[in-house]
Amino acid sequence: MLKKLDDHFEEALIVLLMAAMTVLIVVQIFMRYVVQESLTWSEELARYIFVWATYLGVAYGVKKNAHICVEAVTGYLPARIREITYIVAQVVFLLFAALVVKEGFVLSMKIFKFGQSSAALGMPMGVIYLAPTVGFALVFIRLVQNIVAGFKRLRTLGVAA
Amino acid sequence: MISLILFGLFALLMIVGVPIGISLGIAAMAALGYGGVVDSSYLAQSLVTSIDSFPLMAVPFFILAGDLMGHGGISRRLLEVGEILFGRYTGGLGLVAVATCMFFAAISGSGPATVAAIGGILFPAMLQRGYDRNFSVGLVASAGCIGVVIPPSIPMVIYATSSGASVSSLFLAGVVPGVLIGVVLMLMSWFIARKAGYHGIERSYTGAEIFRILWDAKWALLVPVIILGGIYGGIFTPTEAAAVAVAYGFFVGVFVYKDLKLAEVYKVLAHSALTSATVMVIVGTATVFGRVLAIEGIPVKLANEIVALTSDPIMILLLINVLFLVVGCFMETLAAIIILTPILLPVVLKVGVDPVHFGILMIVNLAIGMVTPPMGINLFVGSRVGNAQLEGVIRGATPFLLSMIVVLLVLTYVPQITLWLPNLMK
Repeated sequence: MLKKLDDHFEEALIVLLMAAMTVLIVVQIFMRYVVQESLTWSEELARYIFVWATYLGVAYGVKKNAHICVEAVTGYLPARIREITYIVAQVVFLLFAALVVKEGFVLSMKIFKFGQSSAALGMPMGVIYLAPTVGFALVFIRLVQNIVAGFKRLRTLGVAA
Repeated sequence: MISLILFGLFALLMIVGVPIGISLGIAAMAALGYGGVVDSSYLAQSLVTSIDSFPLMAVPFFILAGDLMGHGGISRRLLEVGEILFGRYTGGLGLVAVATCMFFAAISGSGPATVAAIGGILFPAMLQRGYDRNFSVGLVASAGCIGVVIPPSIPMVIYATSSGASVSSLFLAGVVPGVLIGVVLMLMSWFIARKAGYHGIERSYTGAEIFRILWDAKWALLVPVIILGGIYGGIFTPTEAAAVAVAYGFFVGVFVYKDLKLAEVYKVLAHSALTSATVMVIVGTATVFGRVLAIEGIPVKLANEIVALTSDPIMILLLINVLFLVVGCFMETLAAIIILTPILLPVVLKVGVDPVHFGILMIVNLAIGMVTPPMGINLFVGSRVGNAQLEGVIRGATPFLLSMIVVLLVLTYVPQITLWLPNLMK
């Protein structure tokens, strides 16, 4: 169970959100041309879903090691040094994730307190501002997993050498 | 000092292998901290506000639409249409490859997706007919670049968001340059094929056969009509058009051609959402980076300095072309657009270059970057799909790469080629 959650948590969520985004916009067009009754809230909701899908997707990207990097230099390093550089890069990323979680949390609590709400749906804006916070909290967890895995690989490399 | 922190730290982190988006964010935050200008909640805020944009949502939709339609059915039928048109000439399959990439480019907005979709079905046929493996893979990897030049195009959506130019104008402006690149690649491939003695397929089609093939491909051929017709007919916005393309690709793949299983749809959704997120995080942090640049007045200073050197727009564009070609060798296309647009656009605006023309030049440049080593994504995808050595693919792609650079120079000198169609439609 825990393994399944670990393997597919972000994946299942972003698949769901991505599908929801598409359906919302298609329904919006359908309502406008076929039913002749424009929806006022569909675009706004789709945008907020997009923000959430993006930051959950960032965590998924860490898990899959899919983030866009420059590999022109690290690719040519010897295996051991490359592994160490990888761990350093992940640690730097970890610090940034911690910063986003902290700042994002403070900001969304502030917005919750102001009681600002969205134009069409009247949704509390704090909910949208929580997206980077939650996303980067997951990023944090995934980075710790990557760092642990990196050290493990480093150890086997050490044995081989 | 602040610009040193900004660019120095960014370059350092990027070289170590920190993701580009994160490197941008850290460099910007460090510069802000040093200057003490803006409070740090600005980071959290722009991560949300920069993504909370309807035009930007076209990006995940076009990625998804391309992924859905790349799975078999549609690309195979486009290939059959290409064969009717060009199969009988010398080096026929090479011409078919370029033509099919052009068709597919009008469906998908991505270069590597075009290479994967077309290469996957075309390479076996080319090898079987005795075409050299490196030539075949090099050709398709190069023709895949047309994917981002002929509309729809994901890089154009990104450029539009960072420059403020209209997506519709950019899409129109890409048509003629895209076709031009296609024609030049075809000529090049014909020359090489004649030398190597690759023959066409001696096969004539009856009228009924041609009709059957076209009819069978109607669902694929309709996509550009729906997307572009919808946008220019004022029926929907580019983002809505992208969502319609997704729904259409899903419907055709699952219910009409039936080559897309539902389990695959899940995988495609996950993969597209992942690709989109890895780009969007760069959009988010680049906004902070761009803000720091603007506070420091770096783009304006750069513009003044360059204009002091030369105010000839062609010279400036040529210099920028060289910069893009170099950057394109090392950096991913979309990341390069997001980072370079706010820096360079003020420079070219100052000497009177049209932002749409500039956008197309940037995109053609970076498209060429997709086939230049060491970071040529189309080369990687091509060598994987075509089972070829990277070195060989690079050799195979070189003549096409050079001919695309010639097209780029022509496009730089003659802005009318690019601007003619959008001006006509105004």
